[in-house]
Amino acid sequence: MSANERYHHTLAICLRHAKRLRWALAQLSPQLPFDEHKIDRLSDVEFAVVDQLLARFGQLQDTMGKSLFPAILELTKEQGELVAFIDQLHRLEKLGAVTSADAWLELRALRNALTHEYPDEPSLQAAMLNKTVEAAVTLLAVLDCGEKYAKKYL
Amino acid sequence: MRLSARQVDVICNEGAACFGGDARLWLFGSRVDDQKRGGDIDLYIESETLDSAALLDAKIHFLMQLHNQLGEQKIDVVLHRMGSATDLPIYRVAQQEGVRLL
Repeated sequence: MSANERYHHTLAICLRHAKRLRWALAQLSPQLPFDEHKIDRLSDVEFAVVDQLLARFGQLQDTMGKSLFPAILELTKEQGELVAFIDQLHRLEKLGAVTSADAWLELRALRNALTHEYPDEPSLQAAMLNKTVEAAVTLLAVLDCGEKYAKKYL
Repeated sequence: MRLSARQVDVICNEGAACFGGDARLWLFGSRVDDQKRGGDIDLYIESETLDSAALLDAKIHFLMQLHNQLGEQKIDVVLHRMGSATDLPIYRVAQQEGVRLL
């Protein structure tokens, strides 16, 4: 696969996640912000939308970090000797493909906090959901920024 | 207990910094058992912080610091907000079967 093809292939996956994520955000926005009482009163269908938000946030964040960022670097022939993810991230920030390396690391930490084996009490669940909604908006903006940056190299 | 001295140090320092000096922290799960191999680092943390949003921010910051200082590891944090009405079984399991670090 050429660098162009790899980038387009990965971008397509990200855009599909982004579309589903946007839909889930739109569905949930009338209820924001969540609290423990709202969480308790969610219908089965509403819960399914919450699951979609969390799942797509995680998948998009993951795919962007593991596949899209390296593909963008490859496209710009900027990856050079950069093996460690943190170095790739700093390079992308320097190039303007990613607005903030720190913001990305926070998105990653949230994604890790979401893949959680043990249940949380409802008020923490609500805080998690509110935080994910906020983070999803940021994540979509990072995707947008990366896509705009990569266009110059296509 | 399968954590290095450095790992314990970092977890305790960041635990106190992120969750307050009066936070209590236990290691539980497979890392408690010397006979086992691998596995996530499971931590149970009790915090006096009343605000859930602030507690979640503290958890995220804690995870970021741990990943920064200990490298990429699977770390699962169970938070118990003291004063919450909820009492989940895992809170007791973690205390009884775990090793208190902080």
